[in-house]
Amino acid sequence: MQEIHEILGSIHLWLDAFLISAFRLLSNPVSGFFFGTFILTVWCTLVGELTSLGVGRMNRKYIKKLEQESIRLHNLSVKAIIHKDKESYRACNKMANEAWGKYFFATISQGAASVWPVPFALAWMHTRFAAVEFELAYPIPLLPDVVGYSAVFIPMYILVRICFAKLKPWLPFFHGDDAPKLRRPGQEEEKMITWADVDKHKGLPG
Amino acid sequence: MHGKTFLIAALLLTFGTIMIASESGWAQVSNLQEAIDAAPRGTERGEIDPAAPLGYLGIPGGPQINLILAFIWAIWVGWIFSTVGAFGGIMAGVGHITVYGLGNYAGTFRQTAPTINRAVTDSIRVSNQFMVGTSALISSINYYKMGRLVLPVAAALAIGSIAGSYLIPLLTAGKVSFRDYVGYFGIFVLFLGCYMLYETTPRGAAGKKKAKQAADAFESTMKKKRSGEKVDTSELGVKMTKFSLGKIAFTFYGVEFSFNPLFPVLGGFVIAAIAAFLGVGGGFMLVPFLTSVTGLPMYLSAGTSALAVLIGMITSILSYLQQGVLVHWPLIGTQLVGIVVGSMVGPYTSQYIPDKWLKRVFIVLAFYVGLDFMARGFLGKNIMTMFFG
Repeated sequence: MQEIHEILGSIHLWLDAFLISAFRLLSNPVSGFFFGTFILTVWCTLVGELTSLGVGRMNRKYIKKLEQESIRLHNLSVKAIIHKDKESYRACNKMANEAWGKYFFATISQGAASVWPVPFALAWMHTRFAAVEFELAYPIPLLPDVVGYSAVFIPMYILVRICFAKLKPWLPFFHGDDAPKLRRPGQEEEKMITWADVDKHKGLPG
Repeated sequence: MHGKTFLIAALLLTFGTIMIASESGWAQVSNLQEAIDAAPRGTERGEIDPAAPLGYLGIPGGPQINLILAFIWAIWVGWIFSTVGAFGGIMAGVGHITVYGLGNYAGTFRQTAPTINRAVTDSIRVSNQFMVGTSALISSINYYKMGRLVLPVAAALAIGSIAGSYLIPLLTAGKVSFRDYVGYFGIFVLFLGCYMLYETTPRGAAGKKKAKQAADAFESTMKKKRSGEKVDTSELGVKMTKFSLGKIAFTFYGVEFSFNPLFPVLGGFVIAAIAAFLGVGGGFMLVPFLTSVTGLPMYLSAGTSALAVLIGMITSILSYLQQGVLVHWPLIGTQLVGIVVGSMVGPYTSQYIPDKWLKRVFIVLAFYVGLDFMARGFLGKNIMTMFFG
């Protein structure tokens, strides 16, 4: 047990030294803080996305089964409404919603897999930057006048995630079918009939 | 379009924080620190021992959260998410309240230092929301990209959601004692248990069976017809036929639907208020609500409710943080990892457990948790001690 604690302790020390190094690259403390936070958000995004990719691969079969069920019932509801059969539409739609609910909660883990490094990053930042406070030059609704490190980290993380999503098609590992995202219509075994399809074909797509 | 909206919102927030004037003081005295300083000193229940090691939220002598236990409990939560569905959020709450020892600890300060009691309660509420919200957020963004939302309904829901999510933390942060919170949480879980039980009764099952039969009958009719048969659709998409404060009527591919526009606003408000008060997501309440009230198809109601949940969650979490509520980040991170592991295990085990049995297990669990929390909250007693002394 003692050995495990020692190993964990040394990992923590190494990680701490590794993460703080980016914050010390620039001599100006404010610039260093923003640059270091940016590098930290990049690490969080990369590690999270890789985990999400792994989870996506492991659960692919199960998630696909749930997804297929919800698509089948959804398509049935589309067919019912096209046939102007309100009762069948309501029944199929209700069933489709239930199936989708199960699919949605099963996919939540993929969301958790892609954001899990964030709370740890915030916990680490708390150990280093708990005393850092910024006064907002302009008041932002719902935010207090004085904000801490998390008010810099969280928006920056969102920006990095948006940029990462744009870069994905050109990144190895992340552009294939296993990409950790809900599949778009057209990538499933039974294709999801979208309302755009119905409008385009003036009825059910052939 | 939605990606751009996010980008603009994030940019605004970033610019707001970058434009700093750091001449303000460095010290922001938190309410909790003041409460710790004001609490009676000592080593008894309800007292603060300044010499004790810092525990939960940095309170001297506070519970040392066992992250291994939190991880194991989160595996269970993740397993439920992947096999049963919505009940995972409830179990996450049970973990915060009971398993990590926060409930008992907060209870000790009920008389001596109510602020500490309420600070721990608020921290649990916002932690629950982080647990459910952060992961749901990622999935929601994908729905926006697909354009799967109906803006007028989403707007009506969002108005209600924002009001509920902002008002509840504003009105209740720092004011709800742990006992009250546990009691209300118990009522909610018991209600859920009753609903699950109703679904298994002949009457409840009949409604579901009827829907299934109608769906099956329609499917077999469709199979008899040539698949992919062209159907003449004289009316495409949604056409509004009446729009007033009392009634919105529209035809959806020629079929008539109508609803009162106040319902989504009211529904959004009530659901968001319950979600914010208890610290749950609310999505599992919104989707059935939307389907039954507006008749929206699954393809659209999923995305529309996701937007409302997202807006509600962001408002509620920000509103809590604005009230100075503290969060234990390592605990949240550990639980997220546990949820991931649990949901990876779920699919491999669920095939051996019939759905019917799973439902029965969760009904029993919901009744036990609901009654126990209600007894603790409103009577101050554990259900076991109530019945067995």
